[in-house]
Amino acid sequence: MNVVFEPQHLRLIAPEMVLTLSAFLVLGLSALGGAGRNLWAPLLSLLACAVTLVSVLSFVWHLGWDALRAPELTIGFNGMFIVDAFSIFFKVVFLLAAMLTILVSSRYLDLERANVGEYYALILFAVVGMMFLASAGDFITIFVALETMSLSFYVLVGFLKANRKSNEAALKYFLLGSFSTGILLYGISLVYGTTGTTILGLIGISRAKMAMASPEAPIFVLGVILVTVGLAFKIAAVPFHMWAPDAYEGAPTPVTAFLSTGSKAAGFVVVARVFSMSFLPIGDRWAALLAILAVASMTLGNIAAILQENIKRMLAYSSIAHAGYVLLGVIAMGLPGTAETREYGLKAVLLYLLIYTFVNIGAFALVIALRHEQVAGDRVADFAGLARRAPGSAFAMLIFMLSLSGIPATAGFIGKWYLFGAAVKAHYTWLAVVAVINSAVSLYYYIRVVVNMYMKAPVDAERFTPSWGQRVAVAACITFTLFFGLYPQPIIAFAEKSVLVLAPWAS
Amino acid sequence: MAPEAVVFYVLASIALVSAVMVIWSRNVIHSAIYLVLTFFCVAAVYVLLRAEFVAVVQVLVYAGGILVLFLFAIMLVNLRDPLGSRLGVHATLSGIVGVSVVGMILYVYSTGRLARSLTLGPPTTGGGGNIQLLGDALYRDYLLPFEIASILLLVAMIGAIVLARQKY
Repeated sequence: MNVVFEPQHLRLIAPEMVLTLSAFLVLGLSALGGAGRNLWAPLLSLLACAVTLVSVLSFVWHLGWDALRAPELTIGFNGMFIVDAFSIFFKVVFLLAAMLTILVSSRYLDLERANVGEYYALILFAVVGMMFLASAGDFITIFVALETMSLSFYVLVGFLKANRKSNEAALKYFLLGSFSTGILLYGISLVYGTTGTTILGLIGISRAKMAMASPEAPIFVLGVILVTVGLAFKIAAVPFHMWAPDAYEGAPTPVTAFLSTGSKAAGFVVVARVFSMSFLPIGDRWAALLAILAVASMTLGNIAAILQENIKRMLAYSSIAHAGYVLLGVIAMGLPGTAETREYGLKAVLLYLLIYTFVNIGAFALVIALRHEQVAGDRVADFAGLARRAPGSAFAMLIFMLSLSGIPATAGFIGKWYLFGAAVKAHYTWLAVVAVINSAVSLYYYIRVVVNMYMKAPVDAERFTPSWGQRVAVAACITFTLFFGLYPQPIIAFAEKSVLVLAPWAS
Repeated sequence: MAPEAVVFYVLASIALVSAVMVIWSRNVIHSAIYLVLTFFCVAAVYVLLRAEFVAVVQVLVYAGGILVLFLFAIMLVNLRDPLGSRLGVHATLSGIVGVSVVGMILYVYSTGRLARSLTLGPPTTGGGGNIQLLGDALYRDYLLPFEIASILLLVAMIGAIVLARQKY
């Protein structure tokens, strides 16, 4: 730790700086007010995300994928900030999720009379937190970045101040979130105490050298368990999922869409980074722990989703189940198999999170579009007869539902194929079987929405008119889902190039 | 006795007595004032331990900021009548817990383990004292998390204002 700060490291955080400054700009201009602010605040935020996206991808153009897989030049700030292909992949996911969220937000917020610049600024700040998280190379950076993201979300969930449900959701999310942060911090402190460093890579080396019989070993394992619990809260895995249904239901629907995709992906960034760089020496142990979480999340999430009448709650439980599926890939990464299996598992995680982001935001976009002056549009029954009112939108919802349940020819199938394949490769075949059975169960409640749309008479006579932003977002999501469902090679290659080169002490 | 030890014992006893007075006094305002006194004495003890920075922070944050908040809160809720001193179940329970914690500390102290693990290291003077060490850690080694923390605080502030404001 005697590396002095080097100004050229600022180049590494350029995308984050651009986005932070844009958030300041949105915030400052919204304070000035003016009649047109409902229009330009989302537009400016979209532009900011696009510019940041370009600046993230400029690393690839300058250095190439190969140089970014095992980075040496692009580590800065004493190893606390790593720009590698893995982080770039996730930054792209976060920025795309944010852009889709902003597109679907404006009309909804107008209806709730809460369309203000602060909303967009908070979305941008959440993305800043996520982006720092994707590149974080040590536990302290992970912690502050995670909190930046979480704090933005606490406020966003409670953004509808006049709405009791929104208030309640924000309070529950805040209390349970703070609690989980405390557990995470405690775990981090134990890991730091036994290894003497917070740098992720050094923790792995230190642990690999640690004798099994040494008194530090059990404390280190306890630290790993507590970190796992803290992160399981963030990805909403059972039994640490209690906040999710309430927070998802009460939050403004665009925030729910962002929470279920961006925030979940951000949780998995940390899981993938920490478990592969720091905790891999005891991979077989935490893989068993995660297997329990995965089975519980899939089963409980899917069964609870069947019972829901509110579509936001249903999608909340479905997202809990999806966290369980994604854990399969993480488990395959941890087991002491071949390096190929490990990287296959990680690749499946990346691929699935990218696909899930588009499919889930697409589904939420249609829930948002159903909201109009009199109708909240968040019950499954509100979809009744949508096929007659708006055939195009009903078809889109059909594709998203099929994709979430993993029907072939949609992107969701490709994602699940790789995840379940990873579990089989890692000799966790029973886990893959459980996941397949769960997918079959999930088909029931996804199809229920479809049945409502196609086989019931419309209850709502109002014309179905999504805003242009919602149209663009749904079109983007549906194109993604169908195009990559039929021709997945580009995104598979993207995920493959972005896989972390697993630490050398692993094998 | 060395002069430092004399100063220490004087400060420590003032701190302890006023700490007792914080819970003893029936007037909440008096309690708060006694708390300031405790904080100041503890800050002085930090100076004796050559932890100047902690001492300054103690005075600025605790004796300054937090105490003012306390006083504001007391005045806002307007506690006119002093609290009664009934011995309820809660008081008895917390008494038992308190006594046993003190017993535990005394026991550990009597075994001598505490004294061994708490022997002071060499004073951390790298030219500028511990303030420089802290500055080095914050602004050089941990520069990035420090900067992200400032964004974090800004988000917290914006969030509080957004949620607390009456209208949008």
